[in-house]
Amino acid sequence: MAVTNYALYTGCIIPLRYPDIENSIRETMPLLGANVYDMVGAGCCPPGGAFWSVDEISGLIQSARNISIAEFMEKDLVAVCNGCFCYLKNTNMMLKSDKEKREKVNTILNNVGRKYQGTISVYHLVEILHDHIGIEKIKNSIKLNLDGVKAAVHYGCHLLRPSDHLMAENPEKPHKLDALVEALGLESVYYPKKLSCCGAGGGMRGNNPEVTLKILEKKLMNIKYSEPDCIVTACPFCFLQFDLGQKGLREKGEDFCIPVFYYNQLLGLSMGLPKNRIAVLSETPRDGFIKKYYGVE
Amino acid sequence: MKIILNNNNKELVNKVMEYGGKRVYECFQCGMCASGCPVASDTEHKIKRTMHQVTLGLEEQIMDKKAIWLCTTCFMCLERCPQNAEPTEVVFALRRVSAENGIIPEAQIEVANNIYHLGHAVTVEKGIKLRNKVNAPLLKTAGSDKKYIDEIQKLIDSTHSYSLLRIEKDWKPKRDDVIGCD
Repeated sequence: MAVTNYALYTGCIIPLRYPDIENSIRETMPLLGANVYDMVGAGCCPPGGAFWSVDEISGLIQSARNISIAEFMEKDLVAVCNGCFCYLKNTNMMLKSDKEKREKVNTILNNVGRKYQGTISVYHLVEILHDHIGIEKIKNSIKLNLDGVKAAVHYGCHLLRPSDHLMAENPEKPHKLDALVEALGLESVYYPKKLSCCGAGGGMRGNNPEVTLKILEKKLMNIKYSEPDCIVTACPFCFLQFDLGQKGLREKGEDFCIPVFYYNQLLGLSMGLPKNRIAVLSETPRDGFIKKYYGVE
Repeated sequence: MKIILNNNNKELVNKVMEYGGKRVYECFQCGMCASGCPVASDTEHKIKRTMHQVTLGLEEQIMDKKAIWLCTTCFMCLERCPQNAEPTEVVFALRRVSAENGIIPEAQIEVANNIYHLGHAVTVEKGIKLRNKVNAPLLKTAGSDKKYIDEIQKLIDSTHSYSLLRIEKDWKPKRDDVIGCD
């Protein structure tokens, strides 16, 4: 099996709030011929809502610092969060083409002994799984097929948009995550406004807990329309919004309790990896789903 | 309300263009931006109106409501704008103007201080407890070693964001929640 090596950029939410998702990525990818290596010292991407929203250069230098770590490793960077992917890829595109900005960034990075060179590519995990590894290999890697189980696929905003920069998917008709979910045997069901926001980003979740839940509730009403058995995403912030947000809505007396999975958690369970390392942490219960369809406690 | 337009009103649009909203004049008020906006129906953030207010120079009307901070930065408006006027970039530019005027929400300040002091947007201590619970490998990111945090601090110190985001020298994280600003 051909092996490819990547620099794994974990971000903040996965390593520090859902490390079981990190385990699921670390354990599934090598089984598909994609080795992932730690980016030692990598910091926050940083997010659009804070640094980018007040001063472009402060966003650029922190992103460029992260990219320079992968450059030093001589490996392409794989982001496992939509927000990280969007801002790191955006930075990479901008600095590769804009000499003036690149020089400005490098003058500052030089003070900490780092340099942005523009020698690597930034990918989203979905691109690695779909474009580099391929559906066939994934189909061949699983031990248990979840035939007939219905999944509501949520892409999230920053995997798709702005498409001119990200170029990961067709922004109005994406298909890669659907194809990946269907490779595990599940049926990816239609639901209205599938490409709409989960309501977490831009600082909304921190600043406006009421509004964030309102937007999520609309999203969930549309999802419920298709009566799925689970929600699948490849962004930890969307995952968190569905996981904690449904809990928040339940506390207000609403009836939302759809199990949520990060894609590699489902993939790992389908490969027969132990649940207690890869799918443990959630506020919206998933054990019933896992027991029913995977037969493990 | 009487609106008087004069040359002073150009100040805002010039600043917005300088700060990244370069194509704001392309807007012809079709409303495609608002049609896909996830917050339009539940908040005071009305992107179509904001685009017009910028070109008219109505700075107070935009800034007083603080509605530009209610954008989730989903980029749907930017994606669908037939004029490629890049409304999301206009929102970012307006946020930069707003921050210069000292108007910035608490969550942004909290996230920025977390990043400055911890290397991450969320608290690390709780993260390490969770990592132990699921037998995750040793943390090797910025939050694992002060030398990386020092590096990030040095970078932020050399930009305007240090003062704009009100970085505090003695910072105690306020909550373990994920505030999130991506």
